[in-house]
Amino acid sequence: MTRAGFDLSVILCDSDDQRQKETRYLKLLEEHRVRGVLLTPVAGTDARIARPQWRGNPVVLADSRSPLRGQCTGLAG
Amino acid sequence: MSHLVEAAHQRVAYVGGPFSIRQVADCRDGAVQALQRAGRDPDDLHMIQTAALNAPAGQRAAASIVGLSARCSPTAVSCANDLPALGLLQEMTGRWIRVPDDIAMIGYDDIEFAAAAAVPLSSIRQHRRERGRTTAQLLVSVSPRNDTRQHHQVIFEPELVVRQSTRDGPRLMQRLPRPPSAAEAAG
Repeated sequence: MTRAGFDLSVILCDSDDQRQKETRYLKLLEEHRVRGVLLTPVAGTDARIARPQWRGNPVVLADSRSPLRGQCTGLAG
Repeated sequence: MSHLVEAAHQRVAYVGGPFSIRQVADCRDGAVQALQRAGRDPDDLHMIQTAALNAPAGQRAAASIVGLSARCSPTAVSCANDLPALGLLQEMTGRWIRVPDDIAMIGYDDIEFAAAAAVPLSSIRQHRRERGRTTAQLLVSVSPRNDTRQHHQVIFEPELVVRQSTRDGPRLMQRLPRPPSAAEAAG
């Protein structure tokens, strides 16, 4: 998938609600040196991604709230 | 939950779990807060924690509700999402318990099957597309190329979708006066 206008490609990973798969995909994305991660964490916010930057790349948490100030999140009210 | 309380349901059950899932715990806490806002004792909420959020979990919850004495049996059930609600609905109707006449129920997420159920299920709709678009915009706004470092937290308001499963409220309870809210009681 490509998002026109930003010249970005989208890599879609389905963690299937499994922490192990989530870890594997995050590693895969790291290897791909992705420019940012949009993540719905498997079970709450994890220390691996609970920071504004992950491996130097911005992180946005979806359907989750960050324990840190200064992290973008989008969650259902 | 407010929808059920406003429909004059006196005994309400909450079905969902495990509570280790933050979204489920948030949903449960919201249910408790809604009761408190209505001036009701949150201990009145009959809590049924399930091991998973699926239809069999809802069916098992239905069996436990049916096992309660008439005095304790809830007239309405709020479920953490639509799948246990559909299981609950199936089990109740299989036992000839009428929904919503004998027991009302509401799910969460408004999946496609909610509207297509034998008794169309009331639910809470999340605007997923809008959430996806907004989170992608947030990501782009903090990308290295756009180094503004403006961080945001966006909360989306879900939408109540009322269908047959919560229509009309409990027939018996409708004749009773609504309990005063905390504000009214204080005034």
